[in-house]
Amino acid sequence: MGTSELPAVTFDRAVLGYGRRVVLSDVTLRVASGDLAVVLGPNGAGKTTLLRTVLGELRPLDGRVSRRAGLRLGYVPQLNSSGSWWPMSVSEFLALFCRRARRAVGPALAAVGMEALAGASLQELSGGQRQRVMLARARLNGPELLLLDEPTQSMDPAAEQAYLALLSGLHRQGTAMLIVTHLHHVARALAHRVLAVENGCVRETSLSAYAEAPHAGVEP
Amino acid sequence: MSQLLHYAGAVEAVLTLLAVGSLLGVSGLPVVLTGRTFTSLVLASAAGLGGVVGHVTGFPVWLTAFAFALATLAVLELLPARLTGPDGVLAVVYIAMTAAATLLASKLPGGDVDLLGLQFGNILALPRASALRTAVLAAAGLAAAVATQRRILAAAGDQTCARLAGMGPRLALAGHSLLLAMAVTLGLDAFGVIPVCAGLVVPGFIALRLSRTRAGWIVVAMLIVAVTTVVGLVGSFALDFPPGVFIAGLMAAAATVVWFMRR
Repeated sequence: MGTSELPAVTFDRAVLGYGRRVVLSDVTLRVASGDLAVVLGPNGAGKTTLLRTVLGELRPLDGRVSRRAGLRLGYVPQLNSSGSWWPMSVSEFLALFCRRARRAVGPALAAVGMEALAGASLQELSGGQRQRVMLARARLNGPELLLLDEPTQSMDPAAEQAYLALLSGLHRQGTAMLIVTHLHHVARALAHRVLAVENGCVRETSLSAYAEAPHAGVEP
Repeated sequence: MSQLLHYAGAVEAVLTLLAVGSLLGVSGLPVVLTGRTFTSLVLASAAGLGGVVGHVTGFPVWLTAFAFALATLAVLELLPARLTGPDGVLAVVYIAMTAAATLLASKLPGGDVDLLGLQFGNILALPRASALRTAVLAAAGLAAAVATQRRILAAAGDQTCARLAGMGPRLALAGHSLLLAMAVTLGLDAFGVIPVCAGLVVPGFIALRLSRTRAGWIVVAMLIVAVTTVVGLVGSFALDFPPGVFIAGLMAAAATVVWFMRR
């Protein structure tokens, strides 16, 4: 089996949480290279806990979570948790997070359609544009798996549609994605796989099956 | 100006203020960027209290000031953000430390601690050798602050993304804490507690309004320090004011003008 054929991330009967507080139990799943999986569930269900465990910020309380050796991750945080918006140009901001900034920043901005705004201040950007900048930052170091936390939060419908099309395009180019959202229509627009997070469990489901069941706190 | 230059130790004083002021300004940029300006007040008051404790206990003043500043930064970093986030909490800590330092100093026999000097600084009273040593240390700190600034800003902006980019954010933030503690300790000798607060905040406050680039911020911050230091030292000498607080006043005036221009 070649390295790229190994699962990018594997959860094996993992128990996830904080300290003694269990948020998700018996999590068993695999994220393969080239996957596009949407983690769907109501607010507070444990979606971000799952994401933080993949990022390596949380260790499983029990069971096993493993990442393929040398796996490169990219992360797009929730817009409102990305820190304050600094009075800094877009290209300068991206250059903070990349050793080979001169070569990498231009193509990263072009890939998300933001090259024309490279010199603009972060503070002048709309919510959708800022989220594109965050996506460009996440792609700077050539990630094999992108993790996105509520990526379309506070976007207007037009910006959201354009952003989802951008994500689909990046996935077609071969980047695996794990996207956390509570918005059903985001899952409908993107999902190849749906992972439902509810009642302390994660289960693989289909979009149609998920749509038929009642879910508190999930926008249809 | 010519009168000042004839004053023994004036050249060393200018060099020291420029080096220490630049170190304060550049290492304070991430503090201003992340909106933690009250941290600078707490830090300066902690170093001030440490200095007084050094006088009381007989330990080297620079050592106790540095230790208090570093310990305060460590506590602020380790405490949950919900406790250190509200400005009111930091203000109370600042007031408590300033009050403790003043009360402690007032009880020392024979006025061992120059309270006015501690609060507002008196660079012209600093021995020339001490001033030069402070200037050299500050220049080394400034070089380190400039060299590590990209990592520090990345870590301050988003620790997770900095870690994924292989930038070691915890090490960068720990290094920044060391630089801040060093800047404040050196600043106590040169400027005094109040001007140290100004030096940590005002150059960054102005730089962020006049430039959109990291290099631009550093250049503007150092220019603000240079202009206010030279003008302030000459002005304070001519008018017989404490130089540190005169420089801080000029910085505040410059910040007010820039704020009106770039609201």
